[in-house]
Amino acid sequence: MTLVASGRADVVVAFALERMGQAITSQKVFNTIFDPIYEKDFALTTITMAALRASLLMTRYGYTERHWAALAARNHQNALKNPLAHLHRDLTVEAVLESPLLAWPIHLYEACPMSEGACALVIAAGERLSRTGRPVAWIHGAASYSDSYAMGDRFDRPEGTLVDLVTLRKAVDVAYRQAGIADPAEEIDVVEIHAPFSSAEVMAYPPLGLCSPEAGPAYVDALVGGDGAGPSVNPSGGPMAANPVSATAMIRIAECALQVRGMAGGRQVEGARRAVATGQGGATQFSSACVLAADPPGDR
Amino acid sequence: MTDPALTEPGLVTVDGAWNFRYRYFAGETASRFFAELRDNRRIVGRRCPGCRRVLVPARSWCDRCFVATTDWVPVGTEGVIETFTVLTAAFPGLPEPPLAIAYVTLDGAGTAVLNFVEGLDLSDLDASAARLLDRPPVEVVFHDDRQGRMTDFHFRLRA
Repeated sequence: MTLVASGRADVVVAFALERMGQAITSQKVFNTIFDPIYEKDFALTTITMAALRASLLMTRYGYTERHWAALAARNHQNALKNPLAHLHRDLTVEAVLESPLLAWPIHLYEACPMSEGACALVIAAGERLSRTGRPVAWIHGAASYSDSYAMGDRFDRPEGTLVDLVTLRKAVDVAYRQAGIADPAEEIDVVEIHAPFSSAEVMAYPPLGLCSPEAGPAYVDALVGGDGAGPSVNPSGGPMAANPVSATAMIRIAECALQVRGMAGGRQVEGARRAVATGQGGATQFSSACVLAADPPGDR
Repeated sequence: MTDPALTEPGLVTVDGAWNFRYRYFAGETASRFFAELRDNRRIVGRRCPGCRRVLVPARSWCDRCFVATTDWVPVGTEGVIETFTVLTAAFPGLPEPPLAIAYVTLDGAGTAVLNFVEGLDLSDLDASAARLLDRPPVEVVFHDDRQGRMTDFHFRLRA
């Protein structure tokens, strides 16, 4: 994006590829992302890392095991309409709750699968492609931020706790400002959240402006009940149904692009004009946000 | 945990294994932290001159203030659980489940330290989880045979 925005390139192809399906001991591999001096002995993996956040969200905001299962079932239902998803499982809340427990409170069907996959984006200067008449997705805003590495250092600090996604809040604030979005719940039609677990999804709601942290459980209730106001959340099914890790964040942008171009097939959100994609990395250490729209900037 | 959808019948797979030995440099600050743990049964942190937090486990640098920490501060051996999980499924290369881990902020510390929580009845997971969700007070239990590692101690719930 910066290559094009700065004028150094007219057209850029960006791609991402993941081959982790070949790793049989992936959780042992993921263990190596954590502090080898102080933390590697304590079974930290991407799953326990998410579980530590899920239980903190339960203590702090009153989420229940049922909230996690209901979101997972909802995402898997959405993925049934997405031919590009890895898993097509017609799951109920009960089936999720009955699946084996991996790390309390996370069940097997609340965890993303090990996926292989790839994604490519063609990013072009606006004046290049707007002549072709084909629908394009206009990038209205994008930003990325990084946080401290150590999870234990992020409980007691004014910037925000381990479940506040400080970096996503900063990234979204910048992207919304660039896009001129003041009331995201009204102005955004689709959000695609980089959330391999239910707990990761709800952590993104407040930074995206969908609800306050305290209102999160009620927001989930409305969302899974089908009477949620505001944008459509993860119409693709999200990473719980397909998580080729290195490509997952780019896929969120691609899904948003398909939505605002009206090319999302069976998962198309009617009348989608503006969408926001999030990307996450590390132990909630890195976040990015990207706002895309059907109309070029300045045409609103 | 390999998903069957990724390996179609009839297509060849070739087994492989990586086993790299590694030696991590703990550095001066963590080495002193481990020596205090092993020799003096003490948990020590480093104070940040900027935010005044005592960083535990000890760190030479505060990456919130971007300054070097200055002095050593012993912290208490009692604290409170910030968050926890109970690993219940076996994964290759990881310790055998079930086991409980928690981040605990020790008295006087400004950050939390990760370790096992022992002494819970993990056969009754719901009851144990409900108890841990209430952020109960815990205490450090030092092991007799200490090697100067994080595994020289664990947490247990205070009576």
